[in-house]
Amino acid sequence: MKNSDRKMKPSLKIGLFLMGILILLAITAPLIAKYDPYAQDLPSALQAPSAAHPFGTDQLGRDILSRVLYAARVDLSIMVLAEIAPFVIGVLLGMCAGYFGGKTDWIISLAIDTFIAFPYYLLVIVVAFATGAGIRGIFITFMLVGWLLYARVAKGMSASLRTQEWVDAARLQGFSDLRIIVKEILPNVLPQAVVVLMTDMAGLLVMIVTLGYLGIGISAPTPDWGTMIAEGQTMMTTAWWISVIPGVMVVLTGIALSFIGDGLADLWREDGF
Amino acid sequence: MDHMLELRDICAYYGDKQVLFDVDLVIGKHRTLGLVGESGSGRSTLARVVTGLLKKSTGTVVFDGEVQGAKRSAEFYRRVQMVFQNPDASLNPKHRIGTILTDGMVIQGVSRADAMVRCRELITRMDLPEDTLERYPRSFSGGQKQRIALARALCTDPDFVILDEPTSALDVSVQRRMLDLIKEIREERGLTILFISHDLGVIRDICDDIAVLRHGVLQETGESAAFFASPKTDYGRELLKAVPRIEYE
Ligand SMILES: Nc1ncnc2c1ncn2[C@@H]1O[C@H](COP(=O)(O)OP(=O)(O)O)[C@@H](O)[C@H]1O
Ligand SMILES: [Mg+2]
Repeated sequence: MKNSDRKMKPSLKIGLFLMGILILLAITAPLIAKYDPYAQDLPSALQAPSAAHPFGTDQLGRDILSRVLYAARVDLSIMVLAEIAPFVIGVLLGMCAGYFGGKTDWIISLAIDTFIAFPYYLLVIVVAFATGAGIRGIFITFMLVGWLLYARVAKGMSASLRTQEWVDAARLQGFSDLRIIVKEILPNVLPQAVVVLMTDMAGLLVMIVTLGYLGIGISAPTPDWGTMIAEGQTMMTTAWWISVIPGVMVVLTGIALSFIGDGLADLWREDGF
Repeated sequence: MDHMLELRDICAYYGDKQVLFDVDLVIGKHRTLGLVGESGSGRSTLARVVTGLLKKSTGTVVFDGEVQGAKRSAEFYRRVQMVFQNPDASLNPKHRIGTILTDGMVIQGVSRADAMVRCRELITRMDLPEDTLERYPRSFSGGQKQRIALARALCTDPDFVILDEPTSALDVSVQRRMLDLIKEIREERGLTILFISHDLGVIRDICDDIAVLRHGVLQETGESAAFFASPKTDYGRELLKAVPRIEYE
């Protein structure tokens, strides 16, 4: 059976479709949004959904649809950008620890254990206060702790993979350790790491939104789902759309990511090694 | 006699546990030496010492007259190859067979295209399906995987091949075929072989010389015919007695 022969699972299709739409909306926001997301229009404040404002307006008369779309650009891009370095660093360090074992493993594991002992959200809040509100805090915090998960997954897998005879066979072909890690071990670790990435991105999005909600993340007036939810919170009974619409966006993104993660896990499990 | 491999005072360890004790062994050029012993006697470990895969060892490994240091040269890995015990674990599940077979040659400086040509010849020689190079390991049977592993070992045109229980994971009928193939290729290429097995019937069939290992200690060595006629040690006699009288002819 070749790779391409394998069937995509429905959950993967749904997840990719949903995520595709969300990303498309984020990219094309300037085309779709009829209003400037920052433009205040006090006379038309707190309007319920209508033809002119499909998702209504907030207390400053800003169009919710436009803000939600621009917020997708902000939140989704931070979510992806903040994951890149931790993913790459975590997988690499984890593979080195697992493959080399010994002192390398000892040092990397010590770093993992040290950072993992910190309460995650507390660290986020401390860093956010130290660096001031805004996305810089999110990036810094995530640099500190985001790689741990990948390192642990990659370390465990590499430690068991290195005892496989095909690793010895690769050494007998005269391959260097670096080449064995990158070309032999990595393809076996990557699927699992990507599944973890999907789950972790959903978690990161919730963190970004939560920080925005608490007022220590992305700060007003930049559109962000978290701050939007916070702004509408006191008007849930009279103007529900202000909070609910961005809330729905967060949930949809989370669902898409978890469907993709599950679908990929199913697909790759069939390789069964 | 000219020696291909000479081992002197080999000791090997896993952690604090010593598993080989002062092993001395020579293999003549173009000879096939059968290394027999029970499971756990240290045969695979000895192979790992020879190939430089096991770092925690002492003693001297001399290959074709050259004393080997801790790190083996690229030339050593071209000339010495190995087929591993477990066919299911010896091929990287994420690579196509074409990649698995050609990567080693490409490292040795052969162009990818030439390597592919050489691979196709080997594939045909091994009676493997035509589309083998495009497929992934999971779609092959144990016997096929073992032949692919043998093909990989032969790719770099080695002089010395270690075969670690190359047939013990296979069905009896498939075993027969694998052994015949090994014999044919040995004649064609004039290979020197270290053949590891626990099956004295197979050893008798394929080996010129024999070495008996027990709990990491070498018990006796000598010509295969002489051993099967009359073993020098009690342990050798014990082993021989335990063999069911099935003749491999
Ligand atoms: N990776 C390892 N770690 C620790 N002990 C090992 C390892 N591999 C083998 N051993 C031990 O070393 C001894 C020799 O094993 P091995 O060389 O595999 O024997 P054989 O190939 O003759 O069956 C056995 O007692 C085995 O348990
Ligand atoms: Mg063994």
